[in-house]
Order: sequence, then structure tokens, then C-alpha cells
Amino acid sequence: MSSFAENLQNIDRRYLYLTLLLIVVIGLLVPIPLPLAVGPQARGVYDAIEKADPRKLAIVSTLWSASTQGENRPQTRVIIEHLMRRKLKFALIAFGDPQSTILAYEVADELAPKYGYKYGRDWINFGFRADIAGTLKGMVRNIEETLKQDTKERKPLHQFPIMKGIRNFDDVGFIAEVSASANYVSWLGLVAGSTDAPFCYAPTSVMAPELYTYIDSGQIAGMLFGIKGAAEYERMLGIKGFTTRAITPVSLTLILLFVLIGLGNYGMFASRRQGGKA
Amino acid sequence: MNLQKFLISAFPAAKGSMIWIAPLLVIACSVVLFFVLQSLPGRARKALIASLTFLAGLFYALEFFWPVRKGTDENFLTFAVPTVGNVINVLAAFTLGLGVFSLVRIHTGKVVKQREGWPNSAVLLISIVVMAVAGIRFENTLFFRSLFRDVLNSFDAAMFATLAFFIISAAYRAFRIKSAEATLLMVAALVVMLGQIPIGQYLTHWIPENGSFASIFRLDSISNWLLLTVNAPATRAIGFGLGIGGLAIALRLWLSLERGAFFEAKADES
Repeated sequence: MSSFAENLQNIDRRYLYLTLLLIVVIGLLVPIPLPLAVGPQARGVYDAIEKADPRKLAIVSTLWSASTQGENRPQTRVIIEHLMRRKLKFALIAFGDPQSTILAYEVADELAPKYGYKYGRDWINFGFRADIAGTLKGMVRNIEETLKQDTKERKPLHQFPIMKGIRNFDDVGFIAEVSASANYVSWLGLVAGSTDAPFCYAPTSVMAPELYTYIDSGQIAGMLFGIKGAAEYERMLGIKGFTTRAITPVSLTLILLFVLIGLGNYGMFASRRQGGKA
Repeated sequence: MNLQKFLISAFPAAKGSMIWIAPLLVIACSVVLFFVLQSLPGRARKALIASLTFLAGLFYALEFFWPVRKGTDENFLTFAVPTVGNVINVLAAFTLGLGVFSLVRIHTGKVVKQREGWPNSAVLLISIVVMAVAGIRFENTLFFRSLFRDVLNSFDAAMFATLAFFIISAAYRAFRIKSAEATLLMVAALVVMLGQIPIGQYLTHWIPENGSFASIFRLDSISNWLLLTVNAPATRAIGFGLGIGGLAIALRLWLSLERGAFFEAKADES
């Protein structure tokens, strides 16, 4: 008969799944009102938008699909909302995943009436491009010549008032990439050297640690660290959106993870002391 | 003669009926080219593809390294960068089409021969057709939005969400402190993760966020320090290694020195 210590190392995974499910559901239904400190990375994104030149275009690039929308959608939302609050003109562009262009468009389209944003005058959707490197290389020289037309109305870019005076990245005042992938390599390698516009990144939590080297070097002006970054941003904007509520189940899930790892290790040590299987 | 002016005069913008004739000519030429390529022996095909790969790489290398004209940021190739970018986009889009073609070919075969799991293949084929028709013909309708938002997005999100369950189970079983390194990793992971969540931050919330020496002892500050001062140099070192490796691979691909490529195998066959 296996001992209690051995059992602690081998809890049936169905119990683990059930506990996790309960914690997520309860966490969403009953948010714990705990304060969330705003980190310097999220502050960096906020400051970059605050300082952006309103005469220039802001670019929000996206590479995410429904699979990571739990983190990437609120990140896209807070960035666009802040751009709209500051009355900055912005353009959406998507790489990598065709879903991305529709999902990001939905976010902007939903927020536009609240801030009186008109398509073509205040914002535009450049749409999806299959190849990021060739597109960015072209945009560095001439945005209109590279992208030709928008995605919504399929009209040449020069017909939109927002594109008046916008030729290349010299006329761009802010760049953000919301991504579930490593697109920052292309942005930093091909664009960052050709513009003074600050580059900010909003990755999923699992990707965020690899970005710190570029934050340290100053190549990335700010970052939204997954859903936590979006929650920090909501705090700075003074809104209580999805992430403010969703951060509770995230916290509880991590606590569950710590507890389970602790139990597993306690079981291992206890089992060793008893001379059992570790 | 200026290369840009020469190209513009040699290939003027299509007008009138040429707008329709030019794409048809391109399609006809592509079909002919396809059969010519198919009929070439493996070695000749490899040489042709190696030459095209080299020329394509050479364009960007020359454009990057060639000195710019005085008073401008451009050299004699810069004007072509957006056009070449568009060509690459078209080629990349073709690879998406190729992927769909490959999927359809394999799963059609499965359905026709009723191999194991053929109903799944049938569902896949029907889904591809329905989604394509909805996206092309009924883009701004409830039909497409419902398929995209309610079906595809929900499936996609649900698939990814199941990862959380597997991660919890895997971390519980795999994360055992069996060495000093594992202990160090565990402590670092604990501090970093606690620093990212409100419950963790609450443990040291009584320490001021800014303006005090004690602020560095807040969990979120320690977490940030670990990510910036310990994690970043390690990531940078890995990045250097990856960069050098990437450069070597890029050179090998550019010069078609990479062994085991598809056309090399074809060349050996002939």
C-alpha cells in the first residue's frame, strides 16, 4: 500500500484539472480587489504614447489569433484606447496570422464611436501581409508604394485623409506590436534604425522574458507583460476592464501551481525519509 | 542610364485593355514556365534555383551595403525595395496556397480510399470549402462572422486554453528539487511569478512603490531585477549564439550550400 507521502507525488490529474477549473471560474466570478503595482515596462508604453507627436501616424502591428486573445486582445484594446484618448492617428497592420487583422480591426471598430474616430480620417487598416521582412523593408522607403490600399474599403491609400503627408517611417511617431510571436526581431532589425519613433511590444507572458535584453538596451521603449501588463495599463488609464477582473484567476492559478509543486516536493522528501520511492 | 528610368521606359504602366491582357499574359507565361521547369533534369533545375536564390539575396545585400547618393538615403537599387517586397509577399501568399493544396490533396485521398479517420478528413475538407466561400463571397455577413467568431475563434481559444491544464499537471510532476541548480531555479521562478501577480505583490505592499531605499525589497522590484539583470544577459548570450548560427545558415542558404535540400536529392536521382 502506498504511503501518504507517495500519494502526494502522484495526485490523479483529473483532480488537478477539476481544481484548476474551479479556481478559474470562482476567480472570474469573485474578483479579489488587490492592488497591482505598475511596472516600469508598462509605464514605458504609456509615456511613449503620451509623448508621441500628434502630427505623425502611430502604427499598431498585430500577430495574434483567438488562441492568445485572452492576453493579446486586452493589450491591443488598451493601446488603441490610449491612442484614441490622445487623438493620435493610427494604422493597423497584421503579419503572420490572417485572423489577426480581423480581430484587431474589431477592437478598433468597437472603440471608435466612443472617441469619435472616423475610418480613413483618424484610423485605417492596412490589413494582413504574409511576409513581414519584405513589407517592412518596403515601408521604410515608401508606405503607400508598398501597401497600395487599405483592407476595409480597398481604396488606394492616398485617397484617405489620414495618409496626407505620410510617406515613410520618418512620418511615424509611435510603433507598437501586439504579438504571440517573435516579430520584434524584424521590427528592430529592419525598422528601428530608420525612425525616431519609439517601439513598444506587447507579447504573451510566456514570451516576455526574452524581451528584457532589448528593454535594457533601450531598443524597446516599453512592454506590456502579458495580461498583467494590460491590467497595469488599465490602471494607468483609470478603467476597470476585462484584465482587472481576469488577473484574479491568473493569480489564483499561479498560487495553485506553487502549492502543487510544494506538495510534490514535500511528498518526495517525506518519502525519502521513510526510505520509499522518491 | 538610371536603372529606375530604364525600367519605367521598358515596362510602362498598363493602360486600357492592357490591364486585362497583361495578367493573362503573365498567367500564360507562368503555365509555360511551370512545364519547362518540370521537364528540366534535376541538375539543371538545381542550378536555376541556386542562381535565382543567389540573385534574390544579392539584391538585398547590395541595396544594404552599396553607398547612398549624396544628399539622399538612397542608392541605385533603393527604388525597387517596395516592389521586391510586394513580390515576396505574393510568393509568401503562394506558400499559403501551397499548404492548402497539400492539405486538400492528402485528405481527399484519405476520403476517397476511406482510410482510417476519413470522416475527420471529410470534416476538414468541408470546413475549408465553407470557410473559403464565406470569406470570399459573404465577407460582411452574419454567416461569415458567425463562422469566424463563434466557431473558428471559439475552437482556437478552447484548444489553447487546455494547455493550462497540461501545464499545471506537468509542472506538478516534473518540478522536483533534486539539485542545487533546481533549487535556485525554483526560488527564482517563485519570486518572478509572485512579483507578476497582485497576490504576490500584496505580500510586500506595505513597502513604498517608489522613492525609498526599501522599495528594492518589494517582490515586484526583485522580480523586475531578476528579469533585467539576471535573465537579460543570459538571453543576450543565447541571442549572440543564435545570431551567429543564423548568419551561417543564411549564408549557406543564399549560396545554396545547404545539404539535403529537396533539389539536391532530385539532382542525385538524375
